[in-house]
Amino acid sequence: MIINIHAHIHASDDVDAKLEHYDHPDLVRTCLSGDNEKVKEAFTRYPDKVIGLGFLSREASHPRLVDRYHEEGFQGLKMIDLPEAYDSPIYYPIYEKAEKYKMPILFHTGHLAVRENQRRGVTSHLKMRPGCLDAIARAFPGLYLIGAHLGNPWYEEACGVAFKHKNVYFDLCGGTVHLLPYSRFKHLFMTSKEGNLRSLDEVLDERLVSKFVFGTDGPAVAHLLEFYENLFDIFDFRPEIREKILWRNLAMMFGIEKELEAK
Amino acid sequence: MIINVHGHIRTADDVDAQMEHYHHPDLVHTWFAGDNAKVKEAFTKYADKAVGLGVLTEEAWHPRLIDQYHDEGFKGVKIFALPEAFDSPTYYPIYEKAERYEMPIMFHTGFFELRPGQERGVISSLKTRPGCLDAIARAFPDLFIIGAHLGIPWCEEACYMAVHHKNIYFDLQGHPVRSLPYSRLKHLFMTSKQWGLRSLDEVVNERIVSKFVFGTGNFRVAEALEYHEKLFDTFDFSQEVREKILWRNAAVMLGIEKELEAK
Repeated sequence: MIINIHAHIHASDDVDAKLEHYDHPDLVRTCLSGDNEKVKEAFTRYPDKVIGLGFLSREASHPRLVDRYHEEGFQGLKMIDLPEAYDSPIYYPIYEKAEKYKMPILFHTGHLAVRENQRRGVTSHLKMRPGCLDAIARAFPGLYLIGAHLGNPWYEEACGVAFKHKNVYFDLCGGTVHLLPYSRFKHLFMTSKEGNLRSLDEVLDERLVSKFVFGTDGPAVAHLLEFYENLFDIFDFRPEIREKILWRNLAMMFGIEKELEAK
Repeated sequence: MIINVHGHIRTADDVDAQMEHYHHPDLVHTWFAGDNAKVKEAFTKYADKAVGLGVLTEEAWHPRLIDQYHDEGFKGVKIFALPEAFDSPTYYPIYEKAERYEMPIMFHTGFFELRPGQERGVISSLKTRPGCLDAIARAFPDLFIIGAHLGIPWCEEACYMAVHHKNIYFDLQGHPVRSLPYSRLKHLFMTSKQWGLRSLDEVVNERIVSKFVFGTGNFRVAEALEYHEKLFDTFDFSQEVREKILWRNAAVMLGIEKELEAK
C-alpha cells in the first residue's frame, strides 16, 4: 500500500487527469493541495482516494481559514512561504486549531524555487528552515507535522528534528534529495553501532528513517517509488520500516490505519 | 586570464606596493576593497588594472553611500558585518541602488573575525550566514552577489545558494576554506551520477563549482592560484568551469566579457 502526502493540483488542472497522473496500482490515498476549489472537487468526487489539504500561504494565512477548511471537509493543511518564520508565535492560533481538529500540516521546508514575482519581497528560505518545526512540535504535541523535501539543504537539521520529536515527519520528494550521493545519505542515516565509540561500525538509524513518509511532489508515483525503493534496498530497511514510510505513518496521522489494515 | 575579485588595500598601504604585490602575468585586474581613499587612488592611477569596491560597515552603511561610490567611479560594493542580518529589509534601499547602478556586491559571509571595538556590540556571524543571501537574490534578481569565504563554516548552505540562484557566486578565499580536507570538499562538491540512487557513483556537481570566483585575500595571485589549480585537478574540473572561476564569471558581472574575449 502507498499513501502519497505530497501531490499538487492547480486552478487550471482537470481533476480526473490529475488523479490519473498520480495513480498507481498500490496507491490507497493521495493528499492533494494547491487550488482549494479543485482539491475540494477532488475529495468530494473521490472521497475514498483523495485527502484534501487546505492551503495557507503569504496571501492567505488567517487562523479562521483553518475553521473553514475543517468545516468544508479538508483533513489537513499545507503551509508554504509565510511572511514570518513558521515558528513565529503569530501563527500559533493556526497550530492550535489544527491540533484541535486533528489536521496534520505539511510544511514546505528549505529552499523554495525562485519566482518572478518576488522582486522587492521578503521571502527567505531561512523562514522555512526545518529547525522551525522544533518550537511548533514542542508547543503542540498533539499536532502532526510533516516537513517536505527533507529541509533541503538543511538535511541534517531535518533529521535531527524528526529524530527528536515524535510528531515530526519528513518526505523525500523534490528536485534535490533524490540527487544526493550515496555518501551523503550514509552521513545522514547511519549511527554508531555502539555508544562511546566502542565500535567504529555504523548501522542504519532506524529511529530516524522510520520518520519518513512517501511523497511525490510533481512527478508520478512510480518515479519517486523507484528512488524510495533504491534507498530501502541499499540501506537494507526492514519491511516494517518500509511499510511505515510508504503508508502506515500517514494512515496513523489521518486516523485510517485500522481501516486500511482491514483491507 | 585571471580576475582577482578579492584584493585588500588598507590606510597604511602604499598603492604601488600593493599593485606590485597582487601582480601576475595572467592578471586582467584586481578588485580592491578596504580604505576607500586608497582604493580610489588605485583605480584612478591604474584605471586598467584596478577595480574599486566601496565599503559598507557597521559604522557606515547609509544607502546614500552607494550613490556617492557610484559617482566617484567605484564599480562595486563590499559589505562587512552590519548591525542587522544581511537580509533585513533595513538594507533593501542599498541593494536597490546597487542593482540600479549595476554594481556587484561582495558580502563577507560566515565567521567574522574578532576585532577590538566589538565589546558590548551586536555583531554576530549569524547575521552574515550565506543563507541570508537567499532573500536578497530573490528580491533583487538583477543584482550580482558574491559571498566571500564560501560562508565558512556554513559551506553547504553556501553551495546550495550558488546552485539555486543564478545571481549568487562565492570565492574560496581565506585560510579556513583552503584548509578544508579533501573528504570535506568531496562532501560539498559531489553529487550522485544518476538521480534516485540508480548509481552509487558520484561526480562533481558543476552547477555548484561553476559558480565560484577567484579571489586572493592577502595572498599573492600565484599562491592562491596554486590552491585553485590543485582543486581543479583533484576534482577534474572541465576547461569551461576553470575559465568561469578564473575570470569569466567576474567579467560577466562587470559587463566586460566580450571585451576580454576579443583580447
